[in-house]
Amino acid sequence: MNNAITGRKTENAIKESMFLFLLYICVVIAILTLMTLIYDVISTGFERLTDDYEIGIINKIQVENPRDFLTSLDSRDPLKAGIGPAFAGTIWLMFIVVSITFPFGAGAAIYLQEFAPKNKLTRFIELNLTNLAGVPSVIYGLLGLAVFVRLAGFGRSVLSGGLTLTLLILPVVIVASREALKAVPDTIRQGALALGATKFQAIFRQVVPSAIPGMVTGMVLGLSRAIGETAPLIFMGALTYVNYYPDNPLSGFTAIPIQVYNWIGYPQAEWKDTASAGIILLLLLLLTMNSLALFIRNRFEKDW
Amino acid sequence: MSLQEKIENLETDLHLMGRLVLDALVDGVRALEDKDVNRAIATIEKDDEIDAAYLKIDQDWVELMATEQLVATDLRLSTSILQASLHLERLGDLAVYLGNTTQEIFDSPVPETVHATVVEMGDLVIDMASSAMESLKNRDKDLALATAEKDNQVNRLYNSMLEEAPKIAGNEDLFNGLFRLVTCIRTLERGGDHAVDICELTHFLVTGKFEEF
Amino acid sequence: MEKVNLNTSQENLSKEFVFKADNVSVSYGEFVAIKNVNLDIVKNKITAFIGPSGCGKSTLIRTFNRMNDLIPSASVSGTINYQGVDLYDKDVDPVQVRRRIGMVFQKPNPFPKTIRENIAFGLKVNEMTDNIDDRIEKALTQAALWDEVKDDLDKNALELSGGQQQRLCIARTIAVEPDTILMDEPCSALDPVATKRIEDLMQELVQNFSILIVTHNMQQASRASDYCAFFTTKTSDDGKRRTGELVEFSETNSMFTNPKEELTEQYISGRFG
Repeated sequence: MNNAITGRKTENAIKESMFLFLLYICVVIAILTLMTLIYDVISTGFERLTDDYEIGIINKIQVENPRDFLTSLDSRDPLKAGIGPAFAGTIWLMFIVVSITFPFGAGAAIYLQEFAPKNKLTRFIELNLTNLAGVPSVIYGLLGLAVFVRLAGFGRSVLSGGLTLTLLILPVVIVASREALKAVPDTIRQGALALGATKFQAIFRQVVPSAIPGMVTGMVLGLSRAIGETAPLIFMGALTYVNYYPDNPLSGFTAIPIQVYNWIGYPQAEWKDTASAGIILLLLLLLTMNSLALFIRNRFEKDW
Repeated sequence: MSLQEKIENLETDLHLMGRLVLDALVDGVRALEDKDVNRAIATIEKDDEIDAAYLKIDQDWVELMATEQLVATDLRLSTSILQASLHLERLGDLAVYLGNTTQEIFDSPVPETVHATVVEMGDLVIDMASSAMESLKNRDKDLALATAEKDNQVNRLYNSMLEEAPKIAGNEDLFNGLFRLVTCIRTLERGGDHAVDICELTHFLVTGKFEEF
Repeated sequence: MEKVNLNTSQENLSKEFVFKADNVSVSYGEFVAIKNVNLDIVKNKITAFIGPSGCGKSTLIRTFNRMNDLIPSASVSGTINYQGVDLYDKDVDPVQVRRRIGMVFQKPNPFPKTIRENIAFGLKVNEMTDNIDDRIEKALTQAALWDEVKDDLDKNALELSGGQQQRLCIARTIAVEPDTILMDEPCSALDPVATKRIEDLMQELVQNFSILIVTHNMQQASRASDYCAFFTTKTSDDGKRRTGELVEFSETNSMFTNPKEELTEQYISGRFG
């Protein structure tokens, strides 16, 4: 047989298998690490959420417990401490962040992508947006402290916290929304304009609706980052011991990451389990949100 | 083979056929003039070659139509070639007719005037056919027009025959010869028409307009 | 190039023209894409623009519905007279122009919505929403698509075949009742069967609309159009830029049997380009 076509088959096959093997190793390491962490958290906190908290062996299952943990207030006693107010605080923050980030983020993206003239000012803005996405979140905390807490006079309220987080994720949301808008083919705009639509009609009735799934996905992913942030909230002064539910935007608050951070700081060993339970809750929340983002993307995004 | 080459080959084949037809016409007219039976038979046999040439052009033309999208000059040229080949084929049949007539009259007495008229007409048709093909080859519409006008001469000869014929009509000995030659003249007259048709094709090829000459 | 007159017979005087282009040139910044075009487009006929790539045919056709306005560096000189009005006059509203002069694009571009919504969009932005269902039906019927989709109006337009999508684009264009339809290589993304259907459709539509079509397909131009404009490119002296020019404009039958210009003859016979 002609060596030109049969010659290197085995050699190439071996190289390919080796390379694949290396890749597998990388994947395994990454996943193993993650699995170990998660396992550790769950095994520590799981009982706290489900069983009656006795030193583990006796099988007294108290069904009330999960809800109790979720709804109880914080306490000096690790066995009674609950995540209720922190959970509520996180929910409040989410609402504030979404209601401000989405309009501003989407609006800025639409302006930059569809209306802004291609001049130096626009390029300057675009460059800065990319940079802002990389600024450490702590800086945003300081900014929030100066602008929202002190200057605007909102104090250490959930409103200030929400606004701070908004600033944090806004660059990311704008960039993601812009990508979603860019993905809409220009032929759609042209098709709309060729029918006698004004630029506004073409953009808001055809381009933006097609880009919405991408924009929402970006929003959800930004949000899931926001609710996991601790440093900026601490810096702008979220309270650490809160035993009430926030009832208006200007009230004090705490959030799940902060609560967990606090619990870890206490000396008693039992706090570790409580903290782990809190982490499980946060993970569940993040998992739900990311699944939602995936669902939206798969179901609604257009295959151009 | 490129389109250019295909069309050029088609045109070459046409002129080769034209050559065959002209040679056949010359043989036919000379045979009739000299009452040369052998030459007449040879003329008749060569008609097979002419038919073969005609068939080839026909087939190649169809193939060209099927495979190429001809427009403008290419279109006019190829359709002119097809039509010209048909006229040439008829002229070839005329040569055969001349051969047949020769065989019929060679041993009979013929009226001299009519005989001379036939030969003169035959030479005229040869001239017209030759010029027509040349005008087509050279895309010479002035030559085409001039050639077409020679058809008037053909008509004059025809009319002169009409005047002569009644004078000889009564003579029984000459009847066979007269009859054959008169029908030959009518056939030659149609040969002239075919030559004129080829001139019209030249005009169409050059100007894109179709006109009756 | 001097103005090409079709002929000056009585017949010509009774023709109505939908566009009269007078010495039109289009540039993108300093680059002149096409220059010195003089053309009179006859109403209710199909006029084809043919020529090699880069000769500016698409650029030119987009001046007729002011789509070139969308490109910031584009500028148009000369006049385009549309039914008696200078198309580029400062008082003319490009949005209204595009309603009266519709456009179908090379790659079918239906909106990613239902069939019904695709047609309703144009009607809504032009405030033609009375009897909207009847209008939708009429447009789809005129575009020879009604029978195929009448039970599926709420199906997503992207699920249609390429040929159907293009007919949908034609339907939504004619729904807003333009008098002219510009088509920029509408069949180049379609298979031969779909192409034939669109060509047949054009013959029906031309009774009610004037149609301008840019095409790369010479056979399509010779089959489907009444008038034909042949453009070519001329390279600049430094060899770097190519500018388009009108070479010949005449009735299709006469251009394809006996073109006036040698360049036209060469192009349509396939000798260059």
